[in-house]
Amino acid sequence: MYRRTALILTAVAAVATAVAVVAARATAAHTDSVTVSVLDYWGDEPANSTFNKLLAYCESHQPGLTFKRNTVPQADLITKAVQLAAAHTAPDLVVSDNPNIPELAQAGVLQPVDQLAAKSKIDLKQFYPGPLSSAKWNGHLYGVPIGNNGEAIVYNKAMFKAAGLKPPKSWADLLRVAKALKKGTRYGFAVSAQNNELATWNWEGQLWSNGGDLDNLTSAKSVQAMTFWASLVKKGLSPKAELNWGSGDVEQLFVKRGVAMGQMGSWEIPILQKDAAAKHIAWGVIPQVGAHGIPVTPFGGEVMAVGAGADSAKVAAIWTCLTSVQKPQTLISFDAQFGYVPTWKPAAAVFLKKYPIYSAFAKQLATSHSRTAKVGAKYDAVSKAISTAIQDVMSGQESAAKALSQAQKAATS
Amino acid sequence: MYLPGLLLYPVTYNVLVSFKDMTLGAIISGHAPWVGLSNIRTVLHDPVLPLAFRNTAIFTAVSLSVQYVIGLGLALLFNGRFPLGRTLRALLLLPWLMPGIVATAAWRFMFDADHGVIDGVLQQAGVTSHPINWLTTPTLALVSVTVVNIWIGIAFNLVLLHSGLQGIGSELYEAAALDGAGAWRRFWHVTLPGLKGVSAILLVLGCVYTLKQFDIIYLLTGGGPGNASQVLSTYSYTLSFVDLRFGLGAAVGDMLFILSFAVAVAYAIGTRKRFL
Repeated sequence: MYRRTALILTAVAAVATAVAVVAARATAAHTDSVTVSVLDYWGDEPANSTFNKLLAYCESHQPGLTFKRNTVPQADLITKAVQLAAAHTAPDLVVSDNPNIPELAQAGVLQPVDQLAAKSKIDLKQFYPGPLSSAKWNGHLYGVPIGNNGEAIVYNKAMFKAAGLKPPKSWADLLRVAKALKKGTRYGFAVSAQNNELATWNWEGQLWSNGGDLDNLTSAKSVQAMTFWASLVKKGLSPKAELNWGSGDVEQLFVKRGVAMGQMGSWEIPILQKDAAAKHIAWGVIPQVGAHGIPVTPFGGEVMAVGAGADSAKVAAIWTCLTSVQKPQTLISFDAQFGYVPTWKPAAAVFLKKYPIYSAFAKQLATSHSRTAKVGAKYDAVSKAISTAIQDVMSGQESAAKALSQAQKAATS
Repeated sequence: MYLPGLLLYPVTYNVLVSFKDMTLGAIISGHAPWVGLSNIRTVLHDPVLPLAFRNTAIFTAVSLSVQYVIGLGLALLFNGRFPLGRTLRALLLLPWLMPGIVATAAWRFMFDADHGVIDGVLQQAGVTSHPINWLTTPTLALVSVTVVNIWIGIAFNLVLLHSGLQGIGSELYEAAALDGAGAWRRFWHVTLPGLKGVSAILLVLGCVYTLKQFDIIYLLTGGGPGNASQVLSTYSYTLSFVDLRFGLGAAVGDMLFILSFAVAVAYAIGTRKRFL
């Protein structure tokens, strides 16, 4: 009898404690603080302070919410995310370059947000389809982009006027115009072909415009796209040094009047506006030139992805933040400082009215294609194999056909 | 007790990884499937590997010999007394003291084809009429990174050889002079034998340091154009941290380790014979 009473008492006490704990948890979600850990690579200005402003905006709209940033160099983001996850301290919000989403999702660093997205006030169909698809892997959504970038061609208006030329619209056009504008030490066209993803993604527009694709590098169309792209360097219309150049180097050459057309990233636009004004250069922006017109291009930029370790309160807070910034007035100032174009169409429309210089980038973004659509989590290996091939062909070490067949082998081995 | 652990753990771990299919997911779960020799087989069939070995050999051999010869020449020069000698000697240490990333950034500007100082001087001197793309021409990329590595390593050679020269007693030179030995014979029979110990250490340290050299090449050419200046260290890094194929990267890392280890063992055996 005594024993039974004790048992009942214990049981009652246990239930009471459990109820109290649950109740406390429930109230905690509303009143207590939520600290969301963030992993990003935006250590440089203006990205650093712009991102801080964005997080502060979310904090001010959700009392109790605090973000704690962990900023690493871009090259270290994936390994850092994986290390943290392995140590059971995975970040709650991962700001990842979009082609890395499949790798991170496959590794288990991210968690899907399909349910939240389905219930959300925000209409996902209002995103440009390409950029939204880059936040997906295996049919699941892992986050949303807050703006994307791309590369387009900046041209020197005075040089075109002096030569009586119009901006090019096809491969044949580009070759002809570049040749006409090449003069002394001045080049006709320049683009980054650095030994990394930069070379690859600048070529992808060419590849896709000619009907080739990343999973079939040895096709005649892929080889043709490579032969054309390398011919600009081989004919001396583009500087050979671009094999070692980033987008910023192309911008510098353009400002020195060393090139008539420079394909560069939208993130260079805020810099170019200042530089070109100081040097009195009149310039315009046209979309990239594909085989027969505007190519389907890849896009750059980050996905705000939800980390696997975040509990439901944190996930809800992150999702509220990510969707609440998708307002024209909020997104515009953020993207303009970044040199990005909003990926959410209603904001993009307002953005372009205010900053028409980005319209060529927006035109490309509307039809852009995710780099990981065909090769998924293998993208990094494929990209490296392609950039090596581009360099081999441009520097005259291999023919386009041979370099691409080696790339195909290296990417699939 | 802790020492062997601290020293051996990274090496052992790397060797283990080279036998596993290490992916991002496997790092988190901690369960990487054992694949035996598969990674090593893949790497051995990779056409880039022989190229990386060849480049590593050229880079190391040329760097070491040129550094040594120039370092020795400068050490002999500074062994004599002349005005500002000490200041100049200190200045020559600068490349060694400068962080690799700073030095590399400066060299990148100097190598620039259209606006770089090297091409400017060469064109003015009439050596070449057109700009030379030092870093993006396949045959020149490896030459360029070797030049930068030599520039950095000279100071190290100079300092050690200079201290080695100070250790050779002046009575040896006096005796040799009395025996009627000229400058050349004194150098050949007194100076060089006197520097034997220092030179051995210098070459071993230099060899291991050069084999592992990474930042200069990675920052100047990224192993390019294509794979033209790819060495074992940059190739291992690329496989691991760009392709995210950690097993393959570790397999190349193993080979690099074996090379360095062989050099150290050769040194140990060599010095043992000398002292026994």
